[in-house]
Amino acid sequence: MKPTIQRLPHARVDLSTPIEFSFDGRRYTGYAGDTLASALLANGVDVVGRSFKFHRPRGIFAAGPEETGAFVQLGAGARGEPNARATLVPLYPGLSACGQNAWPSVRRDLWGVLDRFRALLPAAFYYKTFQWPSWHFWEPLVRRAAGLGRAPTAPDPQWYVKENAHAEVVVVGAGRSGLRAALEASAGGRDRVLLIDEQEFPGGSLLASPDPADRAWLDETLATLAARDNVTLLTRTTVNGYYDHNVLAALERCTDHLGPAAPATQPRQRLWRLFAGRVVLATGALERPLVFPDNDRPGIMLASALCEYALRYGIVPGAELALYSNNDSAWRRALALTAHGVPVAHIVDVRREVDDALRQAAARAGIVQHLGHAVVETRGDPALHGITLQALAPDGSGLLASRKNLSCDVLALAGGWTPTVHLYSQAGGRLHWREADSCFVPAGCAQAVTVVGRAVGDFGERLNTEPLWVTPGVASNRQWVDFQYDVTAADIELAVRENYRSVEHLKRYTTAGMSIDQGKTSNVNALGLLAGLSGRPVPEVGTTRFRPPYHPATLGAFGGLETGSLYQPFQRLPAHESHLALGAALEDYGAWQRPAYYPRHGEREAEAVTREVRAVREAAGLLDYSPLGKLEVRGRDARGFLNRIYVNNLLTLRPGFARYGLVLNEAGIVMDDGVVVCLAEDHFLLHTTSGGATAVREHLEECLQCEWTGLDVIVTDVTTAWATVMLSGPAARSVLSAVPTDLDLDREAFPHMQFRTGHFAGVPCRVLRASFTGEVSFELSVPAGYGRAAWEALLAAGRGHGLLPFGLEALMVLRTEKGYLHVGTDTDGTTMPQDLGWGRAIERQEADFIGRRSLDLAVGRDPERRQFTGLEPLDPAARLSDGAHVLTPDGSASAGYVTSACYSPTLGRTVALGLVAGARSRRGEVVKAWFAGETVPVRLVAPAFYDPEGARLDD
Amino acid sequence: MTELAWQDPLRGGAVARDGFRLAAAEDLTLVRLQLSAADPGAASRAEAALGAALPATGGVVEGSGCRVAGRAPGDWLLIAGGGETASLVQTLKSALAGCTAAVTPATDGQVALRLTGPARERVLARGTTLDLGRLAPGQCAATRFAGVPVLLVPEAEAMLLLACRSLAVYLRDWCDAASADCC
Repeated sequence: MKPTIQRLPHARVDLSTPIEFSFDGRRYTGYAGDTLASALLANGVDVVGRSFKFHRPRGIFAAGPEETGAFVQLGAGARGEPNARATLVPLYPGLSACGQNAWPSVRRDLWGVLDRFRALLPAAFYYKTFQWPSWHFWEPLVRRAAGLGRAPTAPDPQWYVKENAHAEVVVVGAGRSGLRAALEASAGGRDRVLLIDEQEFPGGSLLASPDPADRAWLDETLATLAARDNVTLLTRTTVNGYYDHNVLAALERCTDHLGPAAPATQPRQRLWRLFAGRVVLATGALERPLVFPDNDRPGIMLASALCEYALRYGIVPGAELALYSNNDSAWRRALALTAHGVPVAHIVDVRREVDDALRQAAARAGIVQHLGHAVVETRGDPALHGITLQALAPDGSGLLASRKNLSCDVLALAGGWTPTVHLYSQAGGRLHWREADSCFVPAGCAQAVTVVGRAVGDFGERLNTEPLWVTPGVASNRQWVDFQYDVTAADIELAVRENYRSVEHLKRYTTAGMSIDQGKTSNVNALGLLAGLSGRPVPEVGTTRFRPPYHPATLGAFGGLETGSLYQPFQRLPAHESHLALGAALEDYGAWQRPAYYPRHGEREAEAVTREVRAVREAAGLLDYSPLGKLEVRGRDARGFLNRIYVNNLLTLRPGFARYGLVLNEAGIVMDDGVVVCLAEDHFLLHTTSGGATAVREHLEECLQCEWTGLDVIVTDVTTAWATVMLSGPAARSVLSAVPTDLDLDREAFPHMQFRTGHFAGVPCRVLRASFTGEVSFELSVPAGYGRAAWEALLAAGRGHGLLPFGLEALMVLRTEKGYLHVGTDTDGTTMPQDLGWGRAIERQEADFIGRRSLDLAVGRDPERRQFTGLEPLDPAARLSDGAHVLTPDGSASAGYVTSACYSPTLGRTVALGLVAGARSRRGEVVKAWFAGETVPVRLVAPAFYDPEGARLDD
Repeated sequence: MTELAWQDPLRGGAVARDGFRLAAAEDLTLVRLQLSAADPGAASRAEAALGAALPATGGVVEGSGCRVAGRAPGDWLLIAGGGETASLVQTLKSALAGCTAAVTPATDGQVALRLTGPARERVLARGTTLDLGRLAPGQCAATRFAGVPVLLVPEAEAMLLLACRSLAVYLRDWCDAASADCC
C-alpha cells in the first residue's frame, strides 16, 4: 500500500485546507472532507487495528458503518471514545487516535502470538475449556487478551440531549433514491419532510461519482430541497431504531466533527425520537466480501470501499489493483475506476462465464481477466503484496490443479450486495430471499413504510450473482466469515457438526454477527454457509432477528439531560429555602425533597432525631407536612361514593368532623389510609398518605369514569395548592395562639378529630385536629404561596415555647412509639384490614365497599394471617432492624417480619412494629427475630407503646 | 389584613438566553372549573357567567375577562389577569349555586411559566412528544413535559406552560439545561 502524494482531480476534499492529525503517535496530514480512514489510507497506513480474538492485523476494509477492522481509540481522558470506526470519523484539526486491543501497538502487537494457537481456540472454546477451577478464574485473563477499546473512567464532561420531531414523511438515507423521495414528498409544500443521512454530507453513493451529470443533479437537488420550507435535512444522523406506530430513533452527532474545538454550549449528540406519518427507507445496500483463505489481510477491502476512496476522496491506494468478484457489478466498477485514473490490473471472477460486452470493455481497458478462478492464498507481511489463484472445478465443488500467482497490493472484494433491511426488519417487515441476486429483499410490512432504491433490491443493473459461500478444496480455518470477531468458515462447520442448526443458535455459539458491526458484511455469508452445510435452502435457514440499534450508540445520549440534579423530577416544598437555612438534611421521599432531620453543629442523625422527638413530647415540634395528599370530593353523590371507597361508615360523618379510614383495592388489600373531613353535606376533604395522593386520586377517577359513570361527583386534587404544617406537642395550642387567628383554639371548642376554616395571620387557613405523633396536633394549611411565611411565623411564635422543627425521621419514631400504622411500611401487598384489627368494625359496616367481597374469601379468614403487632426486645437495649424475620416457634421458617423498628427516646428502649402470623392471639409470647445471622428474643405486644389510652391527644 | 408574604414559585429565578426565556407569568391568576356531567344545567350557567361557550378538551376560547382552556372533559382552567381570582371565583360560584361544580382558585396550586424566544419550540420539543407544529393559539394540550404533567397553552409569541407549583423550580432548571445551546 503506498501513500497518495496527490489526490485525483475529482476528489471531494478541500485541498486548500490541510488538517494535521496523529495516529499511534505519528503525525499525518489529510484534508477537510476526509474521514480518518481516507486520510490514513492516503498516508499509506496499512495496519489500523487488531482483530478481537486472534489479534490479527487489520487494515481499512470498508468506507462506512460496515467497517470490520479499523476500530480506533479516539482522543484520551474523559472525552476519549473506544471503538470509533475510522470510516465514520470526520477529520478535524488536532484529531488524535490510536489503535486498540494491541500491545505495544497495532503494528507490532505481542498478543498476535495468539494467532499461532488458533487451532486450540475454535468457536466457543471457552464453553469447553476453563472448567477448572472455574470460568471466573480465567475470565480476567480472557477479557484482557480479547477485547476492544477502553471506556473512559472519568465522568463525561460533554452533554447530550433528546428531542422529538414530527413529520408526515421521514426519508432515511439521502442518496439518489432518498433525495428523489424527498423531492416528491415535499413537492406540495404541505407535508413536513424530514430527510436523514448518516454521512457528513448528503448524497450517498453519488458522492463517489465523478460523473459531472451526477454531481450537477446532486447540487441542484440539494438546492431545491433547501429552498423548501417544509424540508428539514439532518446529516451526521443515524437512524438506529424503527418501532411500532412509525416511531424512529436517530442519533445525531452534533459536534463530534469538531473534536476538541466543539463549543461547550452545544450538545455532543442528540437522540431524536421521530414520529412519522410515512417512512421511506432509502438505506442502500452493503457489499459482501468473498470467503477465501487469509481474506482479512490489510490491503484487502470491499470493492465499494475502493470506489469510495478512489472516486470520492481521490486516493489511489495501491500500485497494483485487483478485483475479486462473483457478479457483474464489480466489472462495471472496475471500468469506472480505470476510466478515472485508478487502473485495475486484474479481475478475478468465480464465474466461468461473464457478459461478453463487459469482457470486451475490460479487455479494452487493459484489465487482465481470470474467469472461473478462486483466490486460494494471499501473501504479505502484514500488508498484501500478492495472491494465488486456482481454477474452480466446473461444478464449483473443488479446485483444479493449475495455480497462478499474481502480484497486487490491493484486492477489492465484490461478493454480492445485501440490501440494508435492518430498519425494515425492525419495523416488522418480512424478508424474501431473492435467489437471482443472493440477497434478502423487503416483502411486506404492516407499518406505513416504503423501501426504495438498492434497499429494496433495485440495483439499477443486472448483477448475475453466483454465490461462492466458501472456497472449496482449501482449509476452512483461515477463511474469515466474520472479520471482526474472528469467525471462520471452520467455526461455522464446527457449529453445524455440533447440531447448532438454528441460525439464532449458530450466531450465539460462534459469535458470527455479534460484533460492533452486527454482521453487516458477514451475516448473509454465514447463512449461505450454514444452508450449504445443513443441506437446506437459505430461505429455510432464515435470518437472525434485526434489533436496534443499527449502529452502536453512546449511552450518554440515552441519558440526555436526565443526569445529576435532573436525574428525575423533584418537587420543592413551599418552605424549602427555610429548611435549607435551618441546616435540614434533605432526602428524597418520592419526588419530594423533604427534611429528614435538622442536625445542629456536629450532631449525628440519631442525636438530632432524639432531640426532635423530645421536643415534640415535651414542648412542641413543627413539621413541613405539605406533601400530605389533599383531595376534595363534592357532589350530591359524594357521601355515598366515599362510603364505597372507604371501609368505614361515612354516612354519619357530620360537617366539621373528621374520621380516620382505610381504602382497599378490589382484592381487599389496604392501599391507603387517611383522615376524611366533612366540609359540608356534599363536600369532603380526603387526606391521603403523602406517597398515595396520586394513586388514590386515580383510583377515585377510575371508579367514576369506568365503574359508576352516573354518579354526581367531582374530585379535585388540591395537594399542592395548600401548604401544610403539623404543629404537634403539649405546647402546640399555645404556639398557634401566638399568631393572630380568628379560630377558637380552645380545647372544648376545637377538640381532636375536628376541622375548622378561618384565617391565619390574615390569610385563609384550614386546620385539622388529628395526630400522627400521639400528641395534641394541629394540621394547618394555608395557600401554598404563603407556605414559607406561615412556617417562619410559627417558628417565630414558638421560640418561647421550646418549639423545634422536626423532620420525617423523628415523625417515624413518634408514630412508631404510638403504634400508628404507616401504610406501605407496615403493610404489604397481602395486608387486609382484619390484619390491622379492623375485623369487627367491618362486620358492623352494613354498606358495601370496594374490596369487601375479597375479605370474605377463605384466605381472608385464615387465623394464621400475618397480623399487625408490636414487638419489644426482651433486652431493652437490643437493636432490631426493619425487615428482620420473626421465626416460627421451631425456628425453621419465617412467620412474619419487622416493619418498623426504632430506638424510642421517650421510653428508653427499642420498640418495633411488624406483621406476624396470628399475632393478636399470641400477645405475650416470646419469639425470635432474625436478621443477618443474629437472633434477638422479642415479645409480641399490643401495637401501642406510648400513651395507649390516648390521653395526651386531647390535653 | 395579610401579614404573610406571598412567595413567587420560581423564587425569583428565570431563564434568560438570547434565543429562549422563561419566567413566571405573574400577570395571571388561575381558576379551575369542574362541572359534573350528571348536572346538565351547570354548563349553560357557567357559559352565561363566562360570556363564552365552554370549549371542548384541547380548545381555548376568550371569555369576558379570562381565557377558558379545556383541560379534560368537564374540567377547564380559567386564565385571567392579575387580581381577578376573587371576583372570578365569586362570579362563578354565584352562577353555579345549587349545581355540582368545583370552582377552585389555582394560582397557588399551579405555576404559569411563560416561554418566549425563537428557540422555545425546540426547548419544548426536548421535553414533550407532542406535535407542537399542530398546536396553535386557540388550542391547548394537557401532556407530559420533562416527565411531569403540564398544560400547554400557546400564545401569539409565547407558550404558557402550567404545572403543579411544587415542580416550578424543577421545570425552570430543566428548561435552563435544555436551552444551553439556545444562546
